[in-house]
Amino acid sequence: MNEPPAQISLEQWHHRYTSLRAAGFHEAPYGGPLERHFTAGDYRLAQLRFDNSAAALRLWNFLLTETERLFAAQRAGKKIIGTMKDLGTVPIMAYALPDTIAFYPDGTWWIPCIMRQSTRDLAIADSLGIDESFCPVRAMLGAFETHQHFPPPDLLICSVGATCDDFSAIAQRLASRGLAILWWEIPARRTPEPTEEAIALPGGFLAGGRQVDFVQAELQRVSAALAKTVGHEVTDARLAEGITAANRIRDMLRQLRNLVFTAPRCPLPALEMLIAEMLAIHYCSDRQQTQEVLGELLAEVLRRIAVSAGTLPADAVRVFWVNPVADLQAMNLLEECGGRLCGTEFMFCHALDPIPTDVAPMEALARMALADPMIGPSADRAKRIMHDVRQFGAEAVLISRIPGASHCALEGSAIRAIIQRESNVPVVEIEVPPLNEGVRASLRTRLEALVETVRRRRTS
Amino acid sequence: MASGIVAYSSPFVPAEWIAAHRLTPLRLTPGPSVVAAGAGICPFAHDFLQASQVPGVADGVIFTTTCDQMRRFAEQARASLPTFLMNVPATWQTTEAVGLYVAELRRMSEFLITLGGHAPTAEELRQTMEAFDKIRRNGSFESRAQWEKDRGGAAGDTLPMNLASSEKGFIRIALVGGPLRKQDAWIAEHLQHAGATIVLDATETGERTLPAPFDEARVRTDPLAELARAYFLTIPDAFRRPDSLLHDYLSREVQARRIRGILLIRCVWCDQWHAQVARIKDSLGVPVVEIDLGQDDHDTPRIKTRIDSLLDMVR
Ligand code: SF4
Ligand code: SF4
Repeated sequence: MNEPPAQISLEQWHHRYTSLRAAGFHEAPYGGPLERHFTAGDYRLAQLRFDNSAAALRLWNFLLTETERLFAAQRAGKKIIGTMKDLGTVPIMAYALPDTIAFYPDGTWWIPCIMRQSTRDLAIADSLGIDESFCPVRAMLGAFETHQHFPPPDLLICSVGATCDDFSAIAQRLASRGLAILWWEIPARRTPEPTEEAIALPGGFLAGGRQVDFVQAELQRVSAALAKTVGHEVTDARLAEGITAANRIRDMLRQLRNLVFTAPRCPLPALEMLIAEMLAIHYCSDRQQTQEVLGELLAEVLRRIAVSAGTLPADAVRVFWVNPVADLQAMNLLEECGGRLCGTEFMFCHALDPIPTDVAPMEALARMALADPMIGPSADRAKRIMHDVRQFGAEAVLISRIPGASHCALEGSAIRAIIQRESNVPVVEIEVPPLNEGVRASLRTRLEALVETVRRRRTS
Repeated sequence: MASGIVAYSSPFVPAEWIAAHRLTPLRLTPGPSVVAAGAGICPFAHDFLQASQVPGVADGVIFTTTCDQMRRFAEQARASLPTFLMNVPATWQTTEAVGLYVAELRRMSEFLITLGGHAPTAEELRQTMEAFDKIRRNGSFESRAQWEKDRGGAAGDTLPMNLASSEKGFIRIALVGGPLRKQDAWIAEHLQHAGATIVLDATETGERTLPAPFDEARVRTDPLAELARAYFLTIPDAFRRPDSLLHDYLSREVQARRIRGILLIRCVWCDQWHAQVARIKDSLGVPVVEIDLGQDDHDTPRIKTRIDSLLDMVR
C-alpha cells in the first residue's frame, strides 16, 4: 500500500484510492474517494495537488465531511455550540461536556475557495451590505442564512474586544438578523503594570494578572451559558480532562511540526500541514477522530523520515509562512516554485501551545486565550515568529495578506520591519484572494524571486 | 514644547479625567497630513497619529482599542511620544465590562502622572466634573461661534456640524457615522448651499458622542463611577456589542428631529461603520446615502454628486 511520497491530482487520487481499496485498506466511517467531495461542490479540489498517503486521504476526508458530521450529530441529539473568533479556547470548554460539539462558523472563511464561489454565501453577504472590502469570513453570513454548511447551533458565542473589525462587524450583522449571540470580551494584551503580577502565558508572552482575572471572569460567563444550554455543569474536573485531551492533540501537532519543518527532506506537503494544524482549533468537530487522524499522519511522517523519503527535492527553500491563506492552492504554489514549508504562524499559535496544568483549569484557559497572537502588539507576534524562524531554520519569511482584513495593512508592515531589523532573513508580503487565478502569474513571480534570493545567498 | 497637553480622539476618553490630573485634554481633530494613508489604512486613524506626533502638539497621546486600526497605530505612536492604549470594552452590559473600563481609567491615571499630572482627590474630580457638566448643559447649539465661546475648547469637545447650518426651511438632514477630519468641513457648507440643514450630527465628532449629563448625587458619592457611567454606559457607537445603544439613539433622534434624509459618512476601510450602512438603510425609514471619505482628498466631485443624490431623493 505504501508508495513513494508524491503529490498527486484529484484524478490520480481516484486510481490511488482504487488500489488502496484493492489492497484491503481500512477506512474511517467518513472515508471514501476524494472525488465525491468534488461532485458535491468542492470544486477547488480539482486544482489542488494532494499528498498520496492513506493518512492524508483520511485527513482530507475528515475535513471535508465536517458539515455532514455536524448535521448527523445534531440529529443524534448532541448539542451544537457555534463558537466564533477566539480560535481554540471555548471549544475546550464545550468538548469537556457530555454530548456536546463545538465548531467555528468562521471556518466558512475557506468556502469561497473550496467551493470555487459556487454557493450563494458571498452573494448573501453582499446583499446584507458586507461586500468584498471585508475579509472572506463574510461568507459566514450566507452560511447562517442557507444552513448548508452547518446546522443552526444551540448556542452561539463570540469573543469581541481586541479582535479584528471584520469579524466584530460581521458577527454584529448576524445578530441584527435575529441570532442571539453571547458576547465575551477579550481585552488587548498589554505589558503587565509594575503594580500587578506578571504572568507568563503559553508560548512566552506576558500578561498582567488583572487581565488574566478579567478573562477568567468572562470565561465563567461563557461556562454558565454552556451549562444552561447543555444541562451539565462545567466543573473543574471536566475542564481538567478537556485540557488534558487538548494537550494530547497539541503535543501530536508539536511533534508533527518539528518533524516536518526540520527533516532534511520535506516529509509532508504544505497543504496537508495547514489542514493538520487547523484541527487543533476545534478538532474539526470530533476530538477523538482528530487524535486518530494526527496519529496516522505522524506515523506516515516518521516512516518517510526513516527512509529519507520526501515529497520535494532536498534543496527546497525553507519558508516560514505567516497568516492563513484564502486560497489553499497557494500552498501548492510555494512548492511548485521551489519552496517548502518550514514553520507557520497562522494566527492561532495559542491553539498549539501546551495549556498550563499547574493552575486551576479556568485560569489556564484564560492564560491560553490571552496568548492569542492577534490580541497583542504586532511586536509580540513578530518576536514569536522570529523565535520560530530560528528554531526551524527557515531561510525566508512569507507574510500572506488576507484581502479586506482590517489588521493586515498595518500589522504586515510592522512584522516585516521587525524581522528585517532583527535578522537578515528575506521577507516578502503577498496578498492572496480566495481564488488566485487572477494574480497567479504575479504570485508565482514573487515566490520564485524569493526562492531565487535564498538560493543565491546559499552559494555566496 | 507643549505643556501638559494630552491628545486623544476617542469619545470614550473622559476629558474631565485628564483635566482633574491638572493636564490639558486635547480632543484632536486631525487636518490634512503630509504623508497619505496607504491602502487598507483608515485615513482618520492615520491622520490622527500624524497630527499627534507634530512637535509641540502634545506631551502624550491616548489611543483606544475601539477599533483594530487605532489599536495598532498606538504601537507606532509609542516610538516617538508617551502613549497610552486604553482598553475600552466592546461589551457593555456586564459588571465585568464596566469594571474593566474603571480599571482602565485608573491605569490611565498612572500614565497621566508620568506626564507630570497629579492624582486627583475625589473632591478635585467632583469639581472638575461639575465644571465640565455645567459647560455642557449651558452650551448653546444655536451657532458655531456661540458653541466655541461657551466651550473654549477646554471641555475636550469637537465641533458638531449642525452648528454650521441653522437656517430654517431647508431639508432636514442628519449626518451619521464615523469621525470627520478638518478637511471634511466642506461637506456642511455644500449641504447648506444645496438647500439642506443639518439638524443632527451623529458622527463621531458630533453630538452623538457627548457623555450623558452627570447625576449630581452620584458625583458626590462616587465621582469616578459616575464618570464611567456617563461615558461608558451611554455613548452609542458602532463598535459596541451589542450595538443596540446606537440604533436606539438613531431611531429616537431621527423621529424627534423630523429628519428627512441621512448622509452616512464613513472613512474608507472602516469596517465598523461600513457594516452599519445596510442596516441603517433598512431600519430608519428615511433615504440614506453613504459617502466614504479619505480615499482621495481631491475626490470632492464624486462625493458632491452623492450628496446631491440624497437631496434629490428627499426633495
Ligand atoms: S482573517 Fe483576519 S480579518 Fe478575517 S476574520 Fe480572521 S482575523 Fe479577522
Ligand atoms: S473611522 Fe473606523 S477605522 Fe477609522 S478610527 Fe474610526 S472606527 Fe477606526
